[in-house]
Amino acid sequence: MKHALQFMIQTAVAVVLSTGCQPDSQCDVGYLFNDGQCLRAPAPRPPASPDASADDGGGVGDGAASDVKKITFGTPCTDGVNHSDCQSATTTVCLIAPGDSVGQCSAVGCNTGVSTCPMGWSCFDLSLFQPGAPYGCVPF
Amino acid sequence: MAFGLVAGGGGGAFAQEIAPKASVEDLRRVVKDLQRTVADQAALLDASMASQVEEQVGDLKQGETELHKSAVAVYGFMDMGLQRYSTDNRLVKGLVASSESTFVSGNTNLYFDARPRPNWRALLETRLSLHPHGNTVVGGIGPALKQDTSIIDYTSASGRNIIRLGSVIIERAVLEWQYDSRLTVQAGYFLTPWGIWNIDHGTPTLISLIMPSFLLNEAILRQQTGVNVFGRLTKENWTFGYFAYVSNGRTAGQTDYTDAKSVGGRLTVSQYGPVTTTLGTSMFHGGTEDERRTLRLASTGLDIDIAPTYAFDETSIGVDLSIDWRGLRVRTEGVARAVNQKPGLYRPVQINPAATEPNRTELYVYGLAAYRWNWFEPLLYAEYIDAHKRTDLIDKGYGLSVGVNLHLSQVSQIRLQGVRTKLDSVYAKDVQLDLFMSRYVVSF
Repeated sequence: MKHALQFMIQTAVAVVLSTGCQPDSQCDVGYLFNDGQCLRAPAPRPPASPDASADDGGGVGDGAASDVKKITFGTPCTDGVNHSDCQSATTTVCLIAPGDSVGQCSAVGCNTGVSTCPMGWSCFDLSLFQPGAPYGCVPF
Repeated sequence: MAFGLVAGGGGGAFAQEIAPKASVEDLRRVVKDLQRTVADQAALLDASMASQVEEQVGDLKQGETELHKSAVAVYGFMDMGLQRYSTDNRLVKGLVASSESTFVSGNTNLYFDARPRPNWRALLETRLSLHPHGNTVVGGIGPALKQDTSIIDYTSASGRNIIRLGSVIIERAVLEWQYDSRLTVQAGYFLTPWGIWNIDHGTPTLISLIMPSFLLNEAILRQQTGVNVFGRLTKENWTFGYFAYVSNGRTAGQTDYTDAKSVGGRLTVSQYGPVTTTLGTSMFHGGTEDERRTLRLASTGLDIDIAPTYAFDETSIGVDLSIDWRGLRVRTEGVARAVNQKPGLYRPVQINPAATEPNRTELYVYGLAAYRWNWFEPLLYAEYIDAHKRTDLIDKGYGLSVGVNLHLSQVSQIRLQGVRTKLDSVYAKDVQLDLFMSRYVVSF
């Protein structure tokens, strides 16, 4: 009886202790853990050319262009055709929901590893909105 | 004048008579004896009418041939109620069945309990349901799908009245052989012997109306198909219980796509006395695999491709504690579930196929306390979960609840319960979802 009780108490303690532990590897090879899901990791970027701009933090220069608005995921945009107001190191497209005139800057190709979605965004099949559209990062 | 307390034991009936001026100690002794007797009988008295059936059929004597048809006891319970969900989150509002007040026909559970011989039993628990009529599935972007089972009853005299098809849900279908209370072998579709809630599982016996999240999320399977062995040993005022089973475990359909079987079990130790306490621990380990079959035309003729789509192993362990003291009932359960997926076969997230579920250790815990004064029983309930993922309707959050059970008679109750939850899910974060529910329950 005493041993049975000891076993059960030890089990309870083990359960409590184990709950704080998460696996070392949460995602498959080629995926990254992001906000409770595993999203495909971005493809390795080619080495920057010597004459490339030193700015790689959102397409915004640190010096002369410091007054330029920083573009990142979620930045409001209106150019849903040429996506001119969403060009940065991390975002490439302006996603505008059907019926709206203002959208948010995002990135596409997240299912193939071209880009990765930030915390709070998920890689989503945009062809559900528009046939032929690629996968893109959406905030949900 | 004396009054007698009579209870049937496994080896025969006994009676105790108590003097008119019995001391408290005498009464305690009698209560203890009765508690022990009840514990011995528990395995045999799953059905209130079981003993009657045995008396009807009896044992075959030597040389006697089967004269009786197997008697079947039919019993069950039914409940209905009024409920309402409430949330400010538009997305979650659209995911619950109705966010307005609505009456519901809840459980109509019927048990078909056959004991053709004292040691042999077949038990079928069914639930008659109005499902799936009106079931709304939000499976992705676009209009939700709503099921309508309405058809024209062309067999009726009028020939054009509308009827709505319901369904029969199999809660369990088991075949049993019992040596005695120490050993029962059960085979078929059995309730997973896990913790407190899943074993009680019927509205009349549950204290709270809320199903714990580890069952709602199917972190723990409610039923499994396989062979389950269980029993109990009683020594003085202690009872030790065990369950051990091998099963298909979690399957995509009814059959297992792997040779590896799942295993699990449960151990309990109970002490009967002024305070009755049961401590239990439950375990499960198994693997799950799904596959896609594609018929194709090859150069040599028809061929079929069979490819696994996802595969993972899971190990769960739980602890539970029950305490009964006078009118007080305390119940608590904690569950940890580790999920490890196989390389290249991570399970896709249903709403977002570009993503996969992560390996994780899920945590679930709840506790409740109720105190019964005659027919009046208020209760408190609290629950916390963190599944360490964002793939389901509720992945992280807590719930707090107050309620009251009104015991109108031995067979009827009214239950009222309000719940406030704060949750994170694949759809939204930090959402408040409130729920009021009520049930009128009658067992028969």
